[in-house]
Parts: sequence; structure tokens; C-alpha cells
Amino acid sequence: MAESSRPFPDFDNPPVVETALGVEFAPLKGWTALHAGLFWNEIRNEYPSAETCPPLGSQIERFDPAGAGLPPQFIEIGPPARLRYWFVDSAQRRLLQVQDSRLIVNWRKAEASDPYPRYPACRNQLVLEWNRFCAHVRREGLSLPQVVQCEVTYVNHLLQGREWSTFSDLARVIAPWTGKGSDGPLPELDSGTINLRFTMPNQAGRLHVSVGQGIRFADGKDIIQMSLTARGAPASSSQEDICRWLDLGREWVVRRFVELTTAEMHKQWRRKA
Amino acid sequence: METQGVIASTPHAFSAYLDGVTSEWGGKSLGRASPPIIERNPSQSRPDSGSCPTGMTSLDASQWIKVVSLGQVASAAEDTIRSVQTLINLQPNWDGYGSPPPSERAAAIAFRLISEIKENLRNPAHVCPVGGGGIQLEWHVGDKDLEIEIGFDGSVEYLAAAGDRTQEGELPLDGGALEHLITWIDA
Repeated sequence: MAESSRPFPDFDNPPVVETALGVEFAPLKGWTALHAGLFWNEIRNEYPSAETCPPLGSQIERFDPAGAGLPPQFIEIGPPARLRYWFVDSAQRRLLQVQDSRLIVNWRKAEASDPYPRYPACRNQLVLEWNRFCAHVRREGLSLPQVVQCEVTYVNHLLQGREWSTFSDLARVIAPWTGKGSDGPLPELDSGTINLRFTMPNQAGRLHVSVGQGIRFADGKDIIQMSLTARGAPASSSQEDICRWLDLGREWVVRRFVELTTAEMHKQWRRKA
Repeated sequence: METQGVIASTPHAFSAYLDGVTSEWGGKSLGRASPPIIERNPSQSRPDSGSCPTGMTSLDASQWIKVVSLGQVASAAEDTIRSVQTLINLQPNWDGYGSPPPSERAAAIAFRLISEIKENLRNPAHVCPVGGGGIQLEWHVGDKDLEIEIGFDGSVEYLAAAGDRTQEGELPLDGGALEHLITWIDA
């Protein structure tokens, strides 16, 4: 059965605590900190807080043999004063990240009772911000962004005492991890990380999965964080092609998340489909 | 945080001793200003391409919710992190004077600071609560002492002492300031 014809998994209470949908584009020539300030002025009523932080490097997925196995490509073009700007909404749930080559929209769960707004709402937010940004760029007389990659990230937090007790319970969480060695059971697992990478069909992109134990800054809780990031190039810079790729990336994120986690966890998260 | 025995009569010796501590980032120097050590600021920084100090892996550079990974920290850092974690669960009036437990803001700043030095930390900090909802991290190595006090509101101050000479100031959260202090105390 083709993947797209299988029922799409859904949960009543998924462990997702953050999503990030983003677009990477060729560095905008002429876009400076002054433009970022002008852009903030346009959106300030929705994003009253702003911060600056180091820019994200380019992390283009490559499939040509020359690029296979190489680390992500880091390109720094432009004047030295490159920055990434964080614009945060008053509820502290929504973050818009902008730099001369990136636009990313994050949603996060700030309170345990916050419902996950679901993918369509997250995608709509990205489209809204992308169109606002492109209109700003156009008004400033700059060339429109040439999109080179889209990105979908889901961050899931599995809490100690809820999904697991000790890190050795990883086998109860991660389906391919049996917790058994070839010659008997393994000793108590203290900590660890798992990093996986999948190539999407037709080299449409890659999915990166990372599982590891950590402590959350905000409340000091012990967690197993499972983050899934899909990246790949859309067919063009059009909004339709961007959305088409994001939909594909989200499908890969969600289906692999379901495959990589156990039925016991699915029951706990109240799987519907 | 109390300043003890500030001796201004040997500023050159002190500056040399604390070389790398006196800086642009607010330290109250006892004598001549040492060369600034924080050469990097956000506008000059390298792309955050895989070494985001507060994410779990290189994939998390764009992540908003910050987590310190236990799979990648030295045992001294994990011990310090666990000590901070313990303080969060203190009961109100833990000191008998009505103090609240450390605030979530103070704890988050402590986690952030430790995560920034997690790979270089040789000695676990002595961690203790501060009245009013703060946290203090302390290192004592030889005749050098370093105290980092995080207020309930997330403000951070430091006190560095070498022998009977001290230096204190506000500690900026960016720019690797704590890393420099840790390098100094471990030197």
C-alpha cells in the first residue's frame, strides 16, 4: 500500500511540545539590520518582544556523490554583522525567526494544558509570515527570496514519571530499541543518544531523528527528547510548492514518529488513527 | 554576595592573577583594566550551524524550548545540573525566614549557564539556594573562589576571589563570560 494511501496517524494527546516550520533562501542582497527593524515595526503589535542571536548556518541536504557523507554546508555571505532576529508574541507561544536567509515560525507549549494547535494552523502561520516578509522585501526594493530548502521540525518531550521511569525504559518508548544484546540482556542503561537519518523518496529531502535524555530549562524536568526534522528543496519558490513540500515533510515526520515509537506509547497518547 | 577584603594596593599583581576575568562585561576592576576578553558579540558571531550551546544537537539550533542534554555532558556538569534540579523542589520557607524555593527563572538561567560550560567543567559546583528565590553556584579551587549568584528575576552577578583580592560584577549571559571564569578558576 502506498504510504499516502495509509490512514494518517493522529493522537488526542500527542507529546509534541514545539513545532518549527521554516524556509531557507539564498542570502538576500542588501537586507540589513535596518530592514529587520523596519520589518519588526510592521509586526510589532503581534510580536512585541524582540531578541537577537547568532545566525543559523546553511544546512542544505545534498544528494550528489561529491556531497554525500560531508558535513552540512556552512555558507557565510554578506557583511559580518549578520544576525538572527527573534520576534516573540505576547503569549510567549509563537516565535518568528528571521535572518537574511531564513524565516522560521515556531509554536511551543508554554503550559502543560496548552493544546497543540495542529499542523494546518502552524502551516497557515508560516504562509502568513512568509507573505508578510516577501511583501516587506518587495517594498524595500530588494529581490524576492529564492527558496532553496524547506524545513519541518517536531519536538516531543516524554516525561519521566509519565512515559518512562529510568533511561533503561527506552525499549518501552522506542520501537526499534529492544534493550537486549545478542548474548543476553544489556546492563542498566544510564544515558545515551540515538541519531538516525532517512532519505525521502526521489531524494526529495532527508529526515533527521534525534533521541536523547535531557533536562528542560523551564521547569527542570527530566525528559527524553525526540526531535524529528525533515528538510528538502521545494520545486520552486512559489507558495504552492513551499506548502507542498511542507506537507510532505510533515507526513514524513509524523509517520516515522509513529513507526519509531511503541504501541504502548501510542495508547498513552490516545492514538485515534 | 559579599565582597571581602578588597585590596587595591596591588592592582597589577591582581590583574595579572585574574587575567581574563577583568573585562568589558561589567567587572569592577581593582586596578588597571585588563584587555577585554569577550571579543565576540552577537553581531560578530559565527553562524549557529551546529554548536548551539543551549540545544541538544546540531539539529536544534532553531529550537525554542531549551534542554540540556545529559548524554553529552561531563559528570561535573551533570552533578551540578542535578544539584540545581534538587533545589527546585525545596518547600516554601525552606530557610525558616519565609523564603520561596528558587524561581523557575533562576533555575532556567542556572541550567543555561551550566549547559554553556558543560564540556569544560572539571569540578562540580557547590549549589545552594539564596533567600528570596535565587540560586548560587560556587567553585573553590586552591586559593581561588568563584561565586555566581542568580537572582529570582534571573539577574546574574559574580564574585571572583584570588587569595584576599576580589572582583565582582554583573555577569552577562552571552559572550562566553562564564566559560572564561571557569577557565580561569581551573587554570
